[in-house]
Formats: sequence, C-alpha cells, structure tokens
Amino acid sequence: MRKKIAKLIVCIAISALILLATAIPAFATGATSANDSYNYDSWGNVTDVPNGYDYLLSIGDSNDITFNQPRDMYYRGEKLYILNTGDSNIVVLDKDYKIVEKIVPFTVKDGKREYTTFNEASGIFITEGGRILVADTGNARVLVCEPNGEIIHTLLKPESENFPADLMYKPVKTVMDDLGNVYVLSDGFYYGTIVYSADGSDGGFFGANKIEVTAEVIASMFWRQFMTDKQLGYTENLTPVAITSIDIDDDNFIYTCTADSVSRLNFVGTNIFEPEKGPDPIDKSIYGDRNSAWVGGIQYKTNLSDVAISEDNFVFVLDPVMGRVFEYDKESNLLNIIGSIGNQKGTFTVPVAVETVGDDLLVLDQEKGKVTVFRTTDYGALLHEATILYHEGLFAEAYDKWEVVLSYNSNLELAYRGLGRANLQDGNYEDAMYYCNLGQDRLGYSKAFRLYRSDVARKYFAPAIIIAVILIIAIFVLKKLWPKIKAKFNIKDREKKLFRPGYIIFHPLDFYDRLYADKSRHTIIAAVVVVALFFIGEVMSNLATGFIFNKNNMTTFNAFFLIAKTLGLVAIWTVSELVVGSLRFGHGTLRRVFTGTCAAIIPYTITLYVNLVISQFLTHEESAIMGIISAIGLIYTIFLLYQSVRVCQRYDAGEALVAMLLDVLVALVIILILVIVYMLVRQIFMFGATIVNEIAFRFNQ
Amino acid sequence: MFKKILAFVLIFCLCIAGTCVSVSGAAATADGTDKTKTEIKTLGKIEGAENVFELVTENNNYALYLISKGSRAGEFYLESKVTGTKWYSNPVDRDFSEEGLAQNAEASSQFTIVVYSVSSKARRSYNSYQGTNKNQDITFAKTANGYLATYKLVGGNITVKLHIEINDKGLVASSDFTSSSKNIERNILTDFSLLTSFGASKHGTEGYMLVPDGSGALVYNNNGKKKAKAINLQVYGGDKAFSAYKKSTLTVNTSLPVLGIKNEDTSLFAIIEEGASSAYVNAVSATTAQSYNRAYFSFKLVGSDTVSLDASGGNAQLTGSEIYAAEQLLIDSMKVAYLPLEKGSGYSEMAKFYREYLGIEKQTVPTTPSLFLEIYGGINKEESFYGIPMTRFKKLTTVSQAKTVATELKDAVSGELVISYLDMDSALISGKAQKKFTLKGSLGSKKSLKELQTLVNGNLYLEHNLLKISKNGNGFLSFRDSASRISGSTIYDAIYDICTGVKAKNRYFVVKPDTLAGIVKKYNTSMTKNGFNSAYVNLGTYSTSDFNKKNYVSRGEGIETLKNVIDEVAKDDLLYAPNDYALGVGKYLADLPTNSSSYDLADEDVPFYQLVMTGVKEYSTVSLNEHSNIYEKFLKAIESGSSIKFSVVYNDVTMIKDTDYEFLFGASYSARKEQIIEYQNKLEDVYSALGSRVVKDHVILENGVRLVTFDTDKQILVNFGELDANTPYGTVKANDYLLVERGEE
Repeated sequence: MRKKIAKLIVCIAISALILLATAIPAFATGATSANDSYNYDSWGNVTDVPNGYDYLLSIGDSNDITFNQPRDMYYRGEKLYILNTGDSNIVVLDKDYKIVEKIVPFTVKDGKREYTTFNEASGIFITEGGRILVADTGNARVLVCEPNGEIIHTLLKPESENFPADLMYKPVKTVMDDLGNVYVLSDGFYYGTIVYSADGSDGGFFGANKIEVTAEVIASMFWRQFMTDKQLGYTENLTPVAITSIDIDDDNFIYTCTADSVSRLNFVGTNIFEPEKGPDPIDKSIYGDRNSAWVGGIQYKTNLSDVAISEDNFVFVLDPVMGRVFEYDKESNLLNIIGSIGNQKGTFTVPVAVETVGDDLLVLDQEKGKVTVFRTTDYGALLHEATILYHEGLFAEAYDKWEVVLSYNSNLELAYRGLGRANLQDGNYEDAMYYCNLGQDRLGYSKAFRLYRSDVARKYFAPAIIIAVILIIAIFVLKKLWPKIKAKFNIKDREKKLFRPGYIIFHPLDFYDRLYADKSRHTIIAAVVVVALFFIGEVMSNLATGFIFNKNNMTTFNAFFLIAKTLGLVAIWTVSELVVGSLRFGHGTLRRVFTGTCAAIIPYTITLYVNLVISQFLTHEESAIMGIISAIGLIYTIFLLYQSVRVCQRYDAGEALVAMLLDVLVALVIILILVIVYMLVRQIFMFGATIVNEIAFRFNQ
Repeated sequence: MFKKILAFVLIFCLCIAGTCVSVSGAAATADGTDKTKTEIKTLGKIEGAENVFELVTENNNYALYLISKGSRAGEFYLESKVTGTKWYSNPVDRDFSEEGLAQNAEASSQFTIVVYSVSSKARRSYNSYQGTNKNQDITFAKTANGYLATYKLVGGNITVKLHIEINDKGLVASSDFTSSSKNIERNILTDFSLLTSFGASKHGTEGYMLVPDGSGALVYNNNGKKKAKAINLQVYGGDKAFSAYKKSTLTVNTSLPVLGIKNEDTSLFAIIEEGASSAYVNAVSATTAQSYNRAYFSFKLVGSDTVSLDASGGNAQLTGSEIYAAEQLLIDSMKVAYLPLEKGSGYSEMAKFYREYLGIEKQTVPTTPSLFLEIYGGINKEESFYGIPMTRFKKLTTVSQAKTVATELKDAVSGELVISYLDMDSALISGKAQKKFTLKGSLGSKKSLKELQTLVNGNLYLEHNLLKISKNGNGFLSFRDSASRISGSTIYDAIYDICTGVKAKNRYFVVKPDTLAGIVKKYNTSMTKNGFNSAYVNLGTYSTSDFNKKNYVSRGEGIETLKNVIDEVAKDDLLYAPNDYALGVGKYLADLPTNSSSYDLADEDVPFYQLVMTGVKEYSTVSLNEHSNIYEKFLKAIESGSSIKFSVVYNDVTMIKDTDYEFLFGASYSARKEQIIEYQNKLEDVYSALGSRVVKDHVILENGVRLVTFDTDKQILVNFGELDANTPYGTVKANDYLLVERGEE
C-alpha cells in the first residue's frame, strides 16, 4: 500500500512538474521585422502592424521657409496657422503647404500700428470667422485678433474668487465655441478650463477632472490626517488630474487630454469619449503607450500633451516623451501609432502640437523647427473607410473593407470585430463567434453565442427531451432492478471509505467526527488528490474557461502564482491552524488538520470544474450564475473549514470561530514572513550575483 | 644512437615549424590582413616654403602638391592632368589669417581625433590644426608615390602618421594605428576622422553628396536644413558586440563602404580599402556662408562597453561605468582611395565605377523578371491545449501547399519563380545550430521538396540562418562558441520592445565567426549531398567582434573569415542584401533595400546599390506585402530594375498572433494571390516594353521625377510625388510611371 501511495505521490509530482515545465515559455523561432509600427492588442501586448501613415514632407527645414521656436498650429478655412513664437508672428500656409503670409499681432495707437511681442506663447486657435486667438503664456494673456492681426481683446487673469490668488495665470491653450465663449487652459490650474463669455467677462470653469477614488487615494487621505504641515508639504496634493490640452470639434464638443486620458466633453462637462464597456481583459480607458521603460535612471512613460480632431472625427493625441501620435476612432479604439523620437524623417525631437489637414496628419517640432506632414497609406485609408462605415452601423458595407484591411494586417483585432459584428447582423452566428473570438470581442461573441445557442436548442430540443426521458426511465428501472442484479451476479457492496466527496458534502458533521479518529492511508491519499485536483482546477480555470469569461492570456500564464494560490494556501492554512491549535490547547495533529482542510476545499474545487463546464454554455448576461456557484462553493468551503477547526481541535462553537479568525491572522503573518524572506533571499542572491559579476569582470580583465 | 639523433632532429624541426605557424597566426591583424606589413619607405624630408603648395610627386594622370611648412602645413591638392580639376584637402576660399585659421580650425585640419583620458574618464576631441600647435608639430617625408606626414598631437602624447600617395586612379590616404596606440598610456585614441574637408565645397556650390545609406541617399549642398543632424552611418551596421540597452529608430543597413561628392560638374568617389569594418560615413551640408558641404569617413579605433556589476539592474544601468578595450584595436589600419571621376559624372557613373572597381562583371540578366517568393514553413507557438500550456508546432505552409502556390503562380506569370522556403528546417525551428539539413517531418518529405525544386526549375532555396540559435546542441555550446563583449559577457541578438526601444529579452546567441564558418561549411556539405541550395538570410551581413580575452577576433577578421566561407559555399545560392565583400557571390540577391534610412539631412533616396548590381545578377526588393503602400514599392522596383518579392503563408495567417512572426501580418496567400499575379504581370509588361531591365542611367529631374534609362536606351519616368508632373519627356501622373516614347524629348 505504501508503495502505491508513493507511486501516486510521484505521479502527482511528475504531473505538477510537467505542468510547470510546459508553463515556462518556450523559445519560438523569430525573425526581424522590416516595419516598426505597432499597436496594442486586447491584452495590452504590442503587436506588429503596417504603417497607417507615412512621412510625406517637412515644412520649415528648407531655404524657402524657416520657423523659430514654433509652439502650436491650427488649421481652419484651408489655411494652416503656425504660431512662430520665437519671431512673434503667425505663419500662414495654404492647404498645399505653401506660405501665404505672416501675421504679426498689433494694436492701433494714434493711427499707428504697434506690434506686440510674444513671450513663450504656446497656443493658437482660429475661429470660424478667421479671428485669431493666441495664448501668450509668458505675458499672462490671451490675445483675440482680427484676421489681419489687430488685437481686439486681451483676456487677462480671471477675477473669480475660485481662481487661486497665488497661482500664476499662464494660458497655454485656448479655443472658442460657436457662441463666442472662450475656453482657456492655464498651466498648473487643476479645475478645468477657464471660460470667458463672449463679452470677455470670465464666467467660471469647465471640464475639471474628478479625483478618482482608488485604494491609493483613500490610503493617502487616511494618512494625511496624521501628517504635520511639513510632511504634507512633501506629499503629493490630492488634486484632479491636470488637463494638458484642449480642442473643439465642429459640433462644439470640447476635447481634453491629460497625461494618460482623453475626454470628449458634452455641454455639462461629462465625458462621452469612452470605450464600449464589456468583459475585457484590460482597462481600455488608458490612452497612449501602455509600456514604459527606465533608461539610465530616467523613466520613459506616456505623457499626452496635445489633442486634435480630424474632419472625420478621428482623435489624435501627442506624446512628446516617446514622440508618438496616437489615433483613435470615435469609440476610442486605437487605430494607429505614428512617429518616434529621432533624427530621421517622420521622427521628432521636441514635438509640441498635432493637427490634421484633411487626411494628413501634422506634427510640429519645436526643436527641429518644422512641421512634419504624414499622409495615410493605402492601408491607413482603408482602415479609415472601414471604421467610418462601422461606426455608422453599415456593417455589411464595411465587410468588404475589413476583409481588405485584414489582407494588409492580420493582427488587427478591430477588423475581426468588424467582421464579427457584420456576421452577427446577417445572422451568421457561427462566423460571428469565430471573428469575435479573433477580435477578442467578448460582448459581440456573447450576443452571437446567445443566438447560436437558441438556434441549437430549438433544433435539438425534441431529441434532447426524448433522450433525457429515456435516461430517467432507464435510471429508474435500473434502480428498481439493482437488488436483483446484485443477487444474480453476486455483486458485493464495496467497503465505503471515509473520504468520499458526497459523504463530506452531505454529512460534514459525521465526516469530521469520524475523521478525528481516522487513521487510514486512503484518507491521506484522497486528501492529496483533492489538493492536486484543486491545483489542476485552477490551472484549467485560467486557461480553459469559456472565451466570454476568460480574461487570462496564455503568454502571461504563471504556474508559480497558481501553485502559491492552491498548494501554498493549503499549506499555510494547515500550518497556521496547527500553530493556533498548539497555542490554544487544541487537539489537532498534522494529519487531522491537513486532511480536514483538504476535505473542506472539495466544494470550492467542485465549483471550479462546474464553472469550467458551464462557462462554455453561458453568455455574458448569465455570468451571475457562475458567480453564485462560486459563492456557494466558497461559503460551503468556509463552513467546512470551520467544522474542521471545531472538530479536529475539539473546540466548542465559539472557540472554533475565534480560532478561525486567529488562523487567518497567523496565515497573513506567515505570508508576510514569506514575502520578507523572499525579498531577503532575493537581496542575498543579488548581492551574490553582484560579487560573481565583479569576480568574473576582474577575471576577464 | 642514430635513431635518437634522428628523433631529436625531427622534434627540433617540428618545434621550429610550430613556432613559425604560431607566429604567422598571431600576425593576423584586426582587419584580417597580414600584419607583417612592409614599412613605408621614406626618401628624405620634405621642407618647402611657408604656406606654398609645392609638387611632391606626379604620374601620367595626377600631380600631388603639398604645403609642408607654416600654419597651413599638411594641406595638399590633387590635380588631374586630364581635366585640370584640382581637389583640395582644405577649402581654399577661407580666411588664411592667423585668426581666420584658428576660427575655422576644422577646415584647416587633415583629420580629427577623439582621445579618452583614463584619469579623468573624459573624451576630448582634437583637430589636427589645434592638436599640432597650429600645424607646427608636423614633419613630412617623401615616399615613392607621395609623402608620409607625422603629426604629434596632445603635447606629443599621440602620434598619427598619415600616408598620402597617388596612383593612376587617384589619391590614397592611409594610416597605421598600431604605432599610434603604442605610445599611449593614459590617453586612448578612440576615434579618427580622415580628411574631413577633402573635396569640401563652399556654401552656394551646386551639387550633392552620395551616402550609401540603404539603397543610397543624396544630401544636396546647401540644403537649408539648419537643425538637421549631420549624417553618420556605420558601415555594415552596428557591431553586435556593442549593442545598446536602448535601440535607436529603425535604420537600413549601410552595405557599401563608399561616398561620393559632386560639386558643379566635378565628381569624386571615395572607397574604403582597409578598415571598413569600423568605419562611418559622414556628411554635412553647408548652412551658412562660413560653412562647407563636406563628406568624409571616420573610424572607431577602440571600443567601449558599459559595465554594471549591480545584478539588480536598478533603473536600467543607472550605475554602469564605461570601460575601454585599449589593447584590442578594432582596426589596425585604414586606407581610403579618393578617385576623381570624369567631368559631369553623377551617382550613376559612380555606381558604374564602383562595379568596375569591385571587379564584378555584367552577365546576361533575363528581361523577364523572376518572381521572388518567401514561403514560411512553420513556427513554434505557445498555446493552451485543453487547459495545459504547451509549445506546439504550427504549419504555416507545408511542402505540398508550397507546390500548390508554385503551380498556381507559375501558370499565371511568365517569369521564373525563385522561392526561399523559410522555417522548414528542424534545427532552425527548434533554435539549434543548422549543421545538417533536416526537413521538419510534418511539413512534408524530401521527395516532395525535390518535386517542388523541379517545379521551379531548380530555383528553390532553403533558409540558412545564423541568428536563430537559442539552444545548445548540434555541436554548438553557448559557453564555448558564443562571442563575448568587452565586459566579458555573452553577446546576444536581443529582442527589443518596439514601443520603448529597450531590450526586452536576450533571444539568440551571437556565435563566434570561426564556429559559424564551421557550421556553414558542414551545412553546405549536407545541402550539396541532398541536392538543395541555400537561402543565406544573414551570411552576407553577419559581422561581430569577439572580445574573448584569450582569442580576440576583430569584426574585420570575422568578416574575412566569413567572406572566405561565402566565396566557398554560396556560389549558386541566394543571398539576402549582402555587404560589399559578398556582392560577387551567389546566383540571386534578395531584399536589396529600395530606400534609405531617411535621415533628416538627406534629400533624396537613390537606388545606388542596385545601380552597382544592375546587369550583374538578378535582385529583388524586400517583400512588397510588408508595406502599406505596395504600389510605391512597386515603382521603386521599376526605378531600380528590380524583381519583386512577396512573403506568403498558405494556412490561416492568424496563427502568427502572439509569436515572433507577427510581422507576417500581410502574408496570407489566399488574400494576396491576385495581387501577386497582378503586380508581377505589370512588372513583366514594363520590362518587356523597355526591352531590358539593366539600368544605364538614373537621373532626378527638377521636380523630383526620376528618369531611368535602360541599356536599350529606352526610358521610363517614375513619379513618387503626390501631384502630376510635367517633364520634357511627358507628363507623368502622381505616384505612377510613364514609358517615354522615342522622340518625345
């Protein structure tokens, strides 16, 4: 028997090792790409894609035209206005990027023009009527000029009490709506944009971001209660995220961006530029690059600084850190990523503004002193066409476009989503499910699956009922005839073992009472099997749960975490119960506590498998069923754990409850100690590795 | 007794022979050339009048004049006896007053150097004017065909000897750095820029500089790009021994160690004859009246590495320190030939001249272009198999499917099919060294592969890849056979995060050139035995230094080793975009770049690489379906006389998701089939109408339209612009081409 147990343990160990081994990412063969464009998939992973835009030309780096510290640009009425801050003028180009004129803002005094000088002016806006607004940052003013440059208004620091008296007024961006309201963004002002009414009076603030109540924020608010003023001075203020740029579309919706978000604000300041909410693996409301890096002690992380909207309502945001422009559609799907930092055409050094001219994308580089013009590629143009049709709900019309887009880029999930939705609309549910799966569109898949399931159920309802009835009758008959069959074939009842799932679940009190005195090997083996099944169940839940509910990615699968979550948890609980038991005069032995704990996790383990199976048949709307099953399993497991503690330690009900709480506390302490030990070991390992490096280096020298 | 004496004599002889062998082995230089160079024989001192050019030497074609004394000492010019053109080492229109020379010291110098101070750990740049105390610390000695100038710099701590001589073709400048490095202790000579103003033209001079960036690029004189950085191209691309933690933006390889200068109607072409493995091509456009249009070569002599002993890698090498391998010179010497061309010569003539210089001869290239196909066999992919994560082989295109592709395309086009079958070898797929050809069983049989080979008239090439070794085995042991960085750590071909540009993971081993040579030879033997040819995807470009302490191999030596292997094994094979030393080898060339890296300073891309190879052998573009604007790449093919290439995957291409093969996003055969046929037929029609695909001349017209003349004297206009263009040869539509009708000019 011992040999059998040993064999079983060896088998389990080997299985676990195989699982572990297969979990370690294997090297795939690879080759380098000729393309350096990328996008993010639904898991947040970088994927190779073709260029949506290609470099077309540069303005400002030839003998014909040069800029001096240009800071912003705006396109309106087939003219491109470039705020040439260093020369205190505005350079106007036509739609073919040929220079038309240079405008220098001026005032008229005694019939004479007095030209003004900019001081770090960083924002320009052109109204429908051709008036020019300049956010003259260093001079703390916004100039409102006629098309010829004559200054007709100067908007100064608002007199509102809400504007902090000690805060410098540094207007950096400005826009005007059709009603003549001017929205000014002031650097360092956290409460949105400052609004000036058409008559020039300041009329409050608009579009402030809210402080998101995260665990970090709550913790910070808590600790701030105990801080001195000096300590508070060192901590970060709890202020709304600052808006870094604004723009306005033809429908007077204000677009704002912060370091990592983009908003389209309606008239009451609510953001309506949000991704479709669904069971997605990652937070889709993060904009810009998801990856960041440390190089030489400097962190390179997205910090969006400008926003622009195209005629077709594509939204472009600029990240000067990585030198990227991100293009989103109106549902905030990331379409293209353009540009980088460098000294090649189509790269930037200090990009400060982004703008669109028809299908062209323009990026202004302050350091290079030029505007880089990108034009959509064949692929980019197709992608735009398909996206526009998709958003207009013309799925069938978009279908062919998506297919061509896919011939250019098989990595584009959005195209699969488009095909999925088109098939869904056409009633091709199986195809819809296939494409939604490729497009990681769980909502679309769920809708298609619900309809597909209804079709299947309708088709096979009658045969299924007949089969079910036959089976029930057969079982009934078999049950009736079973004593006779047993007698006829001399079938003897097998000895019933103690550690049986059915017995544990339906007679937990009896089971634990008997477990206290039990000494059979079978119980130990069964307990080990339960732990193994618990681990396997978790692995399978991670990897084989139905698509709609599975938010785990194979490429980031971590078996170590699952071992810690399953085997580690059982081990820690066992140890903590033993520790608490020994301190509180319990009667638990290692055997009793371990087997009792393993028995307790049976309900939860069963629910893992049940959910695994039913997840293949449920839709997103029915996800609550899985939640309820999980909750039942968990509650029953906690109940059994309680019974285990009570019986194995010979506690009364109250003592058992206290012991359980202590068990939890001790388990947390053990986890804490393990984390500390891990960190210490890691430090020691690093120290050792550093010494080895040093020795190896000296040896090599 | 006699036997003992005989044995003694034999042993003695063997010992002597062994010593000789080891001496000759050690004599190999960093550049792979023989170290036992003949010393430059000097024929007495040159002492002329102060700041006066005096004749040093002359031959039938050229005369060399030098100023050997005064504040302009070291300046020289080369005069062509045929055309009368003078090529000055330094601009002659500058201010020669003492202040003027000092203010424009670089223009008064013959070279600049960078010196690393061991004590202060600082790098400092010196030009020869300032470094030699205003050209005072220079001595000149006459040599057979020129002179040897000895510069004492940095207070005499650094000595640089520059040998200038002339021959029938032009001027040759050379320097031996082994002597320069011997007299240093605390100062390390790390960089050397040669004749930085030779052929320089003043602001306002019309012309351009040709740089070999990818296909080739022109930097126009006085282009007005004041804020654009100077061009600095590393010949043969970056040395993997110096790969950085953060990668710069994507660039195209610089395969040819040349540059060209065209000022008005005079042209000069320069070729690196020694030291190309550590050379850079530089170009600067004049932006003010005081600056010059210049193109020159520079050389890195000593490499450095950043060492971080901190194993935690906190904040990505914040604590790293730089170390220099002063004893391991990257190159021992350099030699550059400056060759004046006939008046009016442009980059087309430069290409022709270079082809002749390389000694590669034109052959008959069929007018009907072959269709190059890159077919991918299979990949390993990590996936969940009923909840169990595992790596499984995915078939992208089986041999049988490849046959289907070949049959379908063969029926639809006239040209030959040239197929590169990639990722089909067992070792290659599993990440082991490819020493013996073994077709991955699940892709098909060798018999079937043979049938495919017959189907495409022998033009089947099976991938051999030197940069996909990630596992030990097949005779490769990483600790023994991997090349080392200066720090002693193993060199890897890393995968970089496209988004951040930082190293994501060390992927493949960079193998020592000697070991690679053995691997390639054995593989070739196996291929010959099996009757197949290879597609060498990186043999023609693979180059790395190996800073192994016991056996340092410079990049130049490594290249020399592989060059010999290429000459030996790749005669009938297909090479991918090889560097200059492998241009003459192989039956086909694939992936010749059709564009440059598009540096800010550059003005035009030109197909210089293709102009060199035109008519020599058939070459293709990179895969058209890797690009978003296929038609533009198609025009690039026409412009350069190229064949076109497509990458295809027969099975469901979505299998590439979450693998290293995501770059095959446009490779679905079913989606691309019609397009492949359409473009190939169109290209066949164009070349058929032209009667040739051998480019005779390539000119950029004023409005940017390219006029390409083929050796049948037929011409084609190619317009990459966004607007229709009127030319004297006809109106060509935007982003299109136009065959020039005879008599239309």
